[in-house]
Amino acid sequence: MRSLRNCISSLLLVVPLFLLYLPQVQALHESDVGVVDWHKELIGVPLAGALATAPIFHRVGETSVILTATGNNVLAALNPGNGSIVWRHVHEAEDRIAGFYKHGNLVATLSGPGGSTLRTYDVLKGTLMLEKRLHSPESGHLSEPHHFGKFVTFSPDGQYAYVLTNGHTISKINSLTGKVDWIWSSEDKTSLIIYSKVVVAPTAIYVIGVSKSIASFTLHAVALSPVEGDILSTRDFPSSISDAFTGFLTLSGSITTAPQVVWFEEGSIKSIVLTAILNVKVTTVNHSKFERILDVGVSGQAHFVAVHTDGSARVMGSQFDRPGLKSLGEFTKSNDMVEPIYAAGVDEHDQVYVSRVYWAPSIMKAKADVLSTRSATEKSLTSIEIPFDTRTHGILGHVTMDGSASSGTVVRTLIMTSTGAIQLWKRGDLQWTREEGLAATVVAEFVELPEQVQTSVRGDGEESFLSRVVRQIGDAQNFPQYLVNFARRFATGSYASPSSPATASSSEPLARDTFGLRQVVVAATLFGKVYGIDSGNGNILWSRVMGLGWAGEVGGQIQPMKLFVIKAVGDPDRPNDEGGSGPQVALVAQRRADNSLVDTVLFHIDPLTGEEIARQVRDDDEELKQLTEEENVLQGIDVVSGPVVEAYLMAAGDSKMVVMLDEYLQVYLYPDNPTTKAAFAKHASTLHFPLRANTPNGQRRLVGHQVALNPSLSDRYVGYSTWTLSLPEGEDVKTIIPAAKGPVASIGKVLGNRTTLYKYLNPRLFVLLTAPHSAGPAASGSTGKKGEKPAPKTCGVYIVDSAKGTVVYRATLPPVDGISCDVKAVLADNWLVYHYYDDEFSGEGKTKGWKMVSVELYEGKGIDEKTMSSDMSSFKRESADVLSIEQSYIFPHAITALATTSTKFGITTKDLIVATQTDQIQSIHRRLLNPRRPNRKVTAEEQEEFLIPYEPVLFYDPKRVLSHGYQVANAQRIITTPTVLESTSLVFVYGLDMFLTRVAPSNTFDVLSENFNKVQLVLTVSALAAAIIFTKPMVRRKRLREKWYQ
Amino acid sequence: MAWSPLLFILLYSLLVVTPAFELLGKIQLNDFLLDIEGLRNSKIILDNGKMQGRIMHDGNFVIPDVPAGTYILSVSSPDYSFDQYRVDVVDSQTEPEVRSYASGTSLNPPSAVLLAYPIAITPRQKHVYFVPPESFNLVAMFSNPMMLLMVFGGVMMLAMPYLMNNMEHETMNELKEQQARVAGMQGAITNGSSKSGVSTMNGEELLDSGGQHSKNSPSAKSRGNNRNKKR
Repeated sequence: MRSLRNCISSLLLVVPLFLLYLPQVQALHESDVGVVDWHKELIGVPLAGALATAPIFHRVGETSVILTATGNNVLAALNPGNGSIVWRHVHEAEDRIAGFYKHGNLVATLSGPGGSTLRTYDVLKGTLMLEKRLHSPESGHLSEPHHFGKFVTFSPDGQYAYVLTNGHTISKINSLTGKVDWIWSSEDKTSLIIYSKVVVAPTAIYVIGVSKSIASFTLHAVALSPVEGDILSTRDFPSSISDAFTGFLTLSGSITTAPQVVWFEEGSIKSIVLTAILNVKVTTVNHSKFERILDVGVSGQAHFVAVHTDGSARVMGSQFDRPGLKSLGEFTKSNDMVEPIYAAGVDEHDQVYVSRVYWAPSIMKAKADVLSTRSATEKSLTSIEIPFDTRTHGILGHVTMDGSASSGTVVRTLIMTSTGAIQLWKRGDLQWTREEGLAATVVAEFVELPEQVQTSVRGDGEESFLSRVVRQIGDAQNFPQYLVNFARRFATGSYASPSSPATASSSEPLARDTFGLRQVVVAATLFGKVYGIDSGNGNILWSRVMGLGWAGEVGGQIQPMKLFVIKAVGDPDRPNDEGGSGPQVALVAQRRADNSLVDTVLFHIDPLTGEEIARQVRDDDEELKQLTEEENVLQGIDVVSGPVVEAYLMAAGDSKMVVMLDEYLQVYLYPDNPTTKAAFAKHASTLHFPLRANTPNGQRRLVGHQVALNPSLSDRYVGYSTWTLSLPEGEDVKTIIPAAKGPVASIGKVLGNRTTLYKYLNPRLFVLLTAPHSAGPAASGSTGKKGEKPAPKTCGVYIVDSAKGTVVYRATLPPVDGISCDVKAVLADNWLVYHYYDDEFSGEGKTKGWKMVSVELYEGKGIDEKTMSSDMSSFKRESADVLSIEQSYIFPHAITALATTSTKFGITTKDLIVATQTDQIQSIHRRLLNPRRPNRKVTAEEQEEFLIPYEPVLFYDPKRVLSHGYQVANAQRIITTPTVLESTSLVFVYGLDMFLTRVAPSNTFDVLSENFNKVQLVLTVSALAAAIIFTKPMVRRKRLREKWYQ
Repeated sequence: MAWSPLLFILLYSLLVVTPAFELLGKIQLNDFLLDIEGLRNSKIILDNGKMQGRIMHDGNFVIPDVPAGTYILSVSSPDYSFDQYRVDVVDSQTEPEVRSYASGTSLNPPSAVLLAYPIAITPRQKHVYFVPPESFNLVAMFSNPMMLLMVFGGVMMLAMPYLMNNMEHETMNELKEQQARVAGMQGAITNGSSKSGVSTMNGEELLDSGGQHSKNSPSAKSRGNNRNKKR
């Protein structure tokens, strides 16, 4: 009998084993691309501060692109026609782009410290033609601004690039092969002459720089021979300029024109024509008094803008190969003008267009005055009105433009806004907008949508019969459609499936779809804007500018800190709540005014519309109130006057509130009303939170806090320290990662031998990552003095209990290159995963590589020990009894972010979602990260637990790449959220790009599978029915016959 | 106006400059990779990517300033998988030693086979991210063995009476006997273990060959019954 039971049990085991290999089917179908996921490719906000990185139009033959380098360290080319990305190259963080320099079909970039790396790309395709290290990054000068002292210019045929790096070295490099012809370096590298411009002329290469004299800068020039790189002559120009960056510029025109140096000196403009012998014949332009000169990107066409002190400006330059400066056009003074921006562009025939773009308060529009200098006699000034929407895009930032000779002065103007958007205007028509501010998203959160409300209009009782009939007929107008739909659905089985688009029904107002897959992602950026993004397709539902409040007068910046959903869809309505029954979010932000005052502002927003629910009542400042209302910006509420060290969301009873701690650890609540105060007071004694603190010797350590009320001192709760976590010498607190909160479906894990491991579910756990102490004596870069043993540098991963600072789990990891730590970790329930790089390989069986460690914490010291850790007080002795089971795996890639999936009830297994360095988002099955994977063949008991044998490498599985062909560049954070379906979780990734998809770690067990074939079922059933009908008389006859003849 | 805008931080490192090497290599096209453009933003990285090189239009790559040491060279590519290599840079003059390396294995001792330098790397596989959707197919549905059995059963059920009618009397009798035996066997299975069913089957075979049916069958049955009692 025993054998039979074994037989059956092994059968039972075999069946799940089949299931185990089934999850392969879970991968994406090609038809789901763009339906269940979306990807928003971004480039980041262009660095408009310098011409070398600012966006510019570039034309090669018939095609034109917009080139730019951005704050996210991306070099990109945009299609001016529709704003799409033609190509982009994301640079590493340490390889900062200094500038890009275009010529014909090539664009060159210098990046890294001192411009250590030269790359050339094909302008239209973005193919990397050449990558060359010019000097080691360690020997590079760090300069501020970064573009200063770096320059690339090309020989007229584009074959050679003359590259200026480090402010003192010129190399002549073949722009395609990378062969270096010659290198010239100024003899005294520490001298205070810094070169910043290179001009190519047939007879000489001119290198222009500034040298420091007593109160100002003096221009310095060197003429080099183009063939050998010998010095032809070197000279200081008799000049005195106050601004080394913008105080001078070089003009070059066609090959036959001699280049000139132009500089601004005490109200006048001076210039020198460059010749190989560098004579110093200075020409002074004597117009009315000047204020500054501007290089607007057409110095290659020998044009620049000079601004007068009275606000008018003129285009200056030399024309028709005649040296010498003259005025080529004038922008007259206007009183209706706010901060004009000058921009220039060239058309197909190399004709220059210069424009002045400004905000005209009287017409509430932007205006562009375009001046074309087509010929000496034909100077046309065209004025264009640009209906720029200042309410949604802030104020005008940088402007660049493009001319077109064929159709008159139809100019394309590219406008960058203060909120990080890029807009292209063709005359007064908006062509496209790119919201590049999203690449600087700091905080983002999912908000569930409410269900669609069935609106029914009730008659008020005095309805006549006729009108009631009419109304009911009206109500029934959708009935036939419903009937048809019902029949169709019944016959074909086309129900809502988890892989159908979430925004199939474009309901207005926003409402949840069948499975809650449609939600709103609220994202706040560094550029002072909040966005509501449809999780179904990535469209921006609304966007609002965050107002500066009183700081609007002095200028400032809003830095989002935390975003909380203070009222989700299921939460009960609060008494006297202004926000209605919908969800609400609160954004805590720091306002850094330009006068160095820091305040904390809270924006209370309706995530469905972006409307402000509660706003500051500014009785004292009626004017400001009116202004902010007019501008339609979010006003916010000044909650704390001063910075906030930490903000938390606290759910107490029915209400959720934001708890903020200021510098003095005073507690501020939002909303601050008697209900929340009472709720907070009730729970105050049980609140514990860790904060970073600096020790006198500069080490950062962790201090646990609690809050208490001392009515004699203050009417606010004040935090006081309760414990200090002593870290080893030389270890610094780097990051505190709170545990991912979510429901836990089971408190234990039943093993194959019918014993149970109870999960350690202490709700007060958090992860602490430490790094080697940066300011310590051991980190100064020296090899360590004799007799003084430097502290070993280590990175640490800790799990700490916030109530009393108990270290529940601890691991010491090797630092990368001996100094820095790049550890990523996530803690969910009792499961910790961390990822680091291990470069220790000298030992037996060791290898270099990224390691991923999976740790599970269980109660007590072994199996069947239950301490009720989820409800236990931290002060009980048993709370420190933890069994940690861990296993380490080799991971093939570096990762930039990781998270676990989260589902509604926590029944579904949690998968790990990682963003890898290869710009992909990958899911890793929980089963692979089970730290109890046996290091041998699995036994029957282990099979019952679905354990699979340990393998040291977590192999890359393309079928589990959620982002498939998308390049999700530079992912910084992953957030997951449950849907109505227990099986399915939404995953949102942001960083540079944005990406959203759905995952079902245990397959979609709660809905009919995609493969379910209703047609087949109906066919089978009807075939059986037909068979029964057909055989019934036969059987009856047979029975009858049997009865007769038996 | 002072020097203040020119915030030059001189970073002349006073460290001893270790001999550095410029590592060269090339990605070679094959059936998986027909165009270098297909590699998108792939990079060649040493160890954790601190040192890296991008792939140029002709497939060449350069990793500059590699100090002496042992490295794992890998291709960080989204769409293709590549082999990994162990690279030992000795000094700036001699060519580095390149060996193949399998991920997850011990780095030491190194493989005895040296590969050619500059390193030539070929893609091993192009990743397939999608699975083909399963679609309804009538042929596939009926080629399912279960389905075939069902269809065969249905056909037999309908065809049986006609077959029976057409059969001769003798064969008919034989068949009836056999049927009775099968029914008996089924009864044994339902009230006994599988073993007794099997032994009945054995007995039946014996009956067909000889005539010892009466001798064997009851004992088999009683054995089965004994078993039942034990349970």
